[in-house]
Amino acid sequence: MTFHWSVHHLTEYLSEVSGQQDETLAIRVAAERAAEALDAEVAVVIVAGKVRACVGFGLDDPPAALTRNARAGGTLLVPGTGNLHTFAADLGRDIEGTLVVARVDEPLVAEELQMLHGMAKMLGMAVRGLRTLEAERILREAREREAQQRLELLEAVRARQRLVETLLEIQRAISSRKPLPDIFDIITSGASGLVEGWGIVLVLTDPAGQDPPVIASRNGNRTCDDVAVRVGAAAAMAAKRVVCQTTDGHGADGVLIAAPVLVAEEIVGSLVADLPARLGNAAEWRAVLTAFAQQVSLALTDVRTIAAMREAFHDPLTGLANRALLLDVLEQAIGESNPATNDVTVIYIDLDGFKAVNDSSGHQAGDELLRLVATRISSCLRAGDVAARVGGDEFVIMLEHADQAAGIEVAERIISAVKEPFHISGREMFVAASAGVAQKRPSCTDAAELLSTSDIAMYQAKQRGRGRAVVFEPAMKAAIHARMELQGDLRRATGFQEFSLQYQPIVSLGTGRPIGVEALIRWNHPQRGPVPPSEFISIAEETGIIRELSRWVLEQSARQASEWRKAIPGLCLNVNVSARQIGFRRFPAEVAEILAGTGLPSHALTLELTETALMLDPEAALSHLRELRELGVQVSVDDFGTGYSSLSYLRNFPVDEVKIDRTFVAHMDRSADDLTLVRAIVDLGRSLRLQTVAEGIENTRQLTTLRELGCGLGQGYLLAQPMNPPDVQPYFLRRLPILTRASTADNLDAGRPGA
Amino acid sequence: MGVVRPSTRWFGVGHSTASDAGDACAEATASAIGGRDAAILLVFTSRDQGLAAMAEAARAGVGPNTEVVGCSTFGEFAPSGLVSNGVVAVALGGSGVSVRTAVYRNAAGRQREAGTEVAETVGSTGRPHEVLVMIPDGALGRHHEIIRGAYSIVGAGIPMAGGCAADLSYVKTHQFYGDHSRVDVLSGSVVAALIGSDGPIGVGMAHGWRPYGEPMSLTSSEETRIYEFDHQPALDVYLRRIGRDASIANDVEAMKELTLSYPLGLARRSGEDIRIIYFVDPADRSMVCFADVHQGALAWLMETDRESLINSGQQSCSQAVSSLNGTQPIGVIAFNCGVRKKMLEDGVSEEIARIVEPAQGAPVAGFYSMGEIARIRGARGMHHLTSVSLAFG
Repeated sequence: MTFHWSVHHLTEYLSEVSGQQDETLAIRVAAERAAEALDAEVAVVIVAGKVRACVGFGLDDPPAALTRNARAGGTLLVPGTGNLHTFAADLGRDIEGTLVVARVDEPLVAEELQMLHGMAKMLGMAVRGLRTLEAERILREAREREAQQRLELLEAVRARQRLVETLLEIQRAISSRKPLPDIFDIITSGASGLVEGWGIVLVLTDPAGQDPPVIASRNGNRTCDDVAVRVGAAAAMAAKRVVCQTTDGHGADGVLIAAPVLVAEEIVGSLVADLPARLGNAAEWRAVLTAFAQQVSLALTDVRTIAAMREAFHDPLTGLANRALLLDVLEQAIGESNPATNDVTVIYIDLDGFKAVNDSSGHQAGDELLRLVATRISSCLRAGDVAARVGGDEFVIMLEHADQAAGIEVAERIISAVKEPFHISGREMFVAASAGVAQKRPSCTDAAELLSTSDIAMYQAKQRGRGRAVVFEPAMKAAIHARMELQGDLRRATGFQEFSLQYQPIVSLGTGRPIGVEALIRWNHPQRGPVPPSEFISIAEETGIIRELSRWVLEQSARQASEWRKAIPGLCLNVNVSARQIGFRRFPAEVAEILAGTGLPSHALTLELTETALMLDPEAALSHLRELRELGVQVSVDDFGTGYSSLSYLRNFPVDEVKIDRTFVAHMDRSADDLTLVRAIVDLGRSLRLQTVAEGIENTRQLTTLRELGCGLGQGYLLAQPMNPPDVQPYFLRRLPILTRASTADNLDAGRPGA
Repeated sequence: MGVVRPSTRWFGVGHSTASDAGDACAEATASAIGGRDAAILLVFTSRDQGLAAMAEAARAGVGPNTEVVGCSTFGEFAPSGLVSNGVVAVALGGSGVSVRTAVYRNAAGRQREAGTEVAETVGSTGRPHEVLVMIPDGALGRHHEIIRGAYSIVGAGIPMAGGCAADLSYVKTHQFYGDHSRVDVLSGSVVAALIGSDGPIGVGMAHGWRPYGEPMSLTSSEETRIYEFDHQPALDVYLRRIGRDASIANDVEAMKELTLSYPLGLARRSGEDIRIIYFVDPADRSMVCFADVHQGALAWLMETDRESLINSGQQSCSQAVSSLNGTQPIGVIAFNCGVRKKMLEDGVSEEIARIVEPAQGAPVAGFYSMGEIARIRGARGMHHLTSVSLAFG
């Protein structure tokens, strides 16, 4: 069966030899398996004259006699091994080599020799195959190298493209004024993307000058900690150039490349790349990092410029445009506006009641209120509209492509928005807004002029009762000039020689008898003659003269009434108190002093306040009115129904009387609504046990109606016109001819609820 | 010049079945050494407990010039016969004996390297006769590569003998390695001892197996797994050849018996290179051997009988003794396949008695192994189901 053995052994031999990875291994296995298969002690493979494998001699070289003339065969006595019969076979075509086998004592038989030749051929085949594979592998590797080089080239082009794209993205972020932290993140993330996702850290000096520098942004994988990064950043900032440092964080060697960041030649920080050593040595990354550091510089420079611009053109408190910027954009808008349509409109807003908030709650609350007002104003505007704060509590809005009607609409929207309560430091505060609306006129070429016309309109709005919008009319200009003059005259008139008091009786509608008088101030202008209070009271309030004027009125009238009460006991005195006056800290004390100084009993005095005056600073008003109530002084709400008309203040404030505004009384007989309102006020007074006084009764119809409604007291031309002091006492005495002094006093006092 | 004293060589065997492992080893060691200065102590035990105590006892029982090697076994025997669950110690010494030992730890996956390194480490004893005794872990696999590695270093001038460490529980085998300062109990290692002697050393081997039926061609295999014989599923061909039903493939125990009785023999010039089939996979009808089987090889099923096995043991010893070229043997170490012991069952005593016969009264001791090593002629040295004898003259 040996023929079977040898043939099959060749197959097994081939499968083992050809299964080897490389030529050296294949040759070694070939020698070993040949020796094993032939039960030979020795096997040697010689290729190109060199012994490539040798089995059987241990660590010793095969005897030269064996290798020198291997093909010759023969016997060889090897000490320690024995008498070796050697046989050789060529590896075959293209391979200059021999497989030599030597067996102790037993020569190879023919079949074994045949098998040796087969094995040699198979080794030759295997070696050729491996060499071909090797050649192919080398070729393939060369091709792959070329392909790799092409890929690398392509990658280099792509990397350059990525760099450009990343830089462009950063430029876009800077030019679109993205928030600075966002820009920093785009820069660090972009740079990290270019360095295979390794760490990029932006370190900036703390604007407050504190130590250590701030890490403004970071992205990517890191090899070291923030401390090392800060050290690297500090080195670059000190050297004012790119620096490289090695690190050994987390057991892996790394390199920090830090590039300084400059703004206007001032070092403000450093952009640091935290890279593994293999990347950190590339000069290219230094260039890339420098490019990105420059982007940080650009972003910071841009922001600083913007900040400087903002400072120059914006109101630091509200962030709105300031007067300078407003005038600038207004100038441009006027220049660009369509001469046919003149579609630039300006709204001038002034807050009503802001000073009271500022005075009573402090500047901080005032500032907060202004910020909130600015926010509300902005919320009423379109994207292209410009809002500016031009003075303490003055705002201007410029509307482009908007006519007067649009201006009114926006103004009213703002007025409504500002009217809503503000919550500041846990307190509810109220202000109102008066608005002047002015559209560019064809003749107008100047921003300042347009602004001025809106200011005049705003002034008119204030004059007409506040909390409203008024459109500019040319006549207002003349009026404002007149007003300016009046203001000067009023200042000059302080000495009160030009002022006088008139008294209008207040009559019981039930009995037709007068029960008291309301003191009315008169200004007799030396040139213009009498000036109505509606014209000069507001000027007096604006100029601050009101305080002295009010005190003068109260003192004069109290002295006068006290005098009259000697003949007409029970005569009551009503005196108007301005909105500004009630807020004065010493107001209750001043009233007490005057009452004491003039001898007028407190219960004979009624102070009249408007609803607006009460609401300007409700807390101060409430406090002062309570003090006055303690003195025994009465409080009347003047012009009831024209202002807030809040039921809650009637309940909360110590009020004794409401006066129905003359406008309701005047229209009462023509307007069902007004009649309903008057009836409601009278009913309300009855319910709350308040005296009701109807003002401006001019005809008997009105009188009859008011009597029918149950209104207690009245004033008006029908009943009695305002009169000079000498006429008052005779008037009263005429109406009370049959009464004794005492009974007169009783009767008169009975007319008042607080009596 | 001084007086040239004739060199002395002695061979001692000791065994013990003392219940305490340490005591057993101490007794066996003391008995083997007999108060002499040994060059080497070989310790074999089929116990799987108390190995550390045995190592310590061996260490304590040897002098400063003694190398200690050994292993766990499927069973061991002394001249008196099989030593059940005990310890057998073999000591070799005298002025004519020199020993150098080496170990390669954690050899799994580095078999060739292990064989190369231990052979390099032992170097040479300078004695005219040398044998490289190798004791690898039997569970390492690819033992052929260990022997090829060693052969590439020692060459044809030094024969090899030895046996693979075995384990009765088939879980983990152990090797002893050390000297009087320390003896380690290892696993997964290759232990080697180069024994040099002024007297001749003979190695013999025989297996007693013969081809059964017609040869088959391995048409599909991969490393140690055979998928096909003659282009048909290997397991089906195998069972058909021995006339068993295919359904037996799912009976693990029955298959184990069957594959031990009918191993595979790969055609070699000087006989068959036996492969033990240790696992069959009914799912893909493949069979897995202990050693590599290469595609293209010619193979037979092998069979044996009780008499052939017993005879082969004697044959192996006889071959070893006759290699001493007439020198009286001083002792024989036998490395016998564990499967033989299992197959012979109560015939083991007879086998041992027959092995001892050719020793001419010299002590014979050895162990049942998991793979046998004998390189006498040619380059092959790894065998299975074989009886290897190492005789010292």
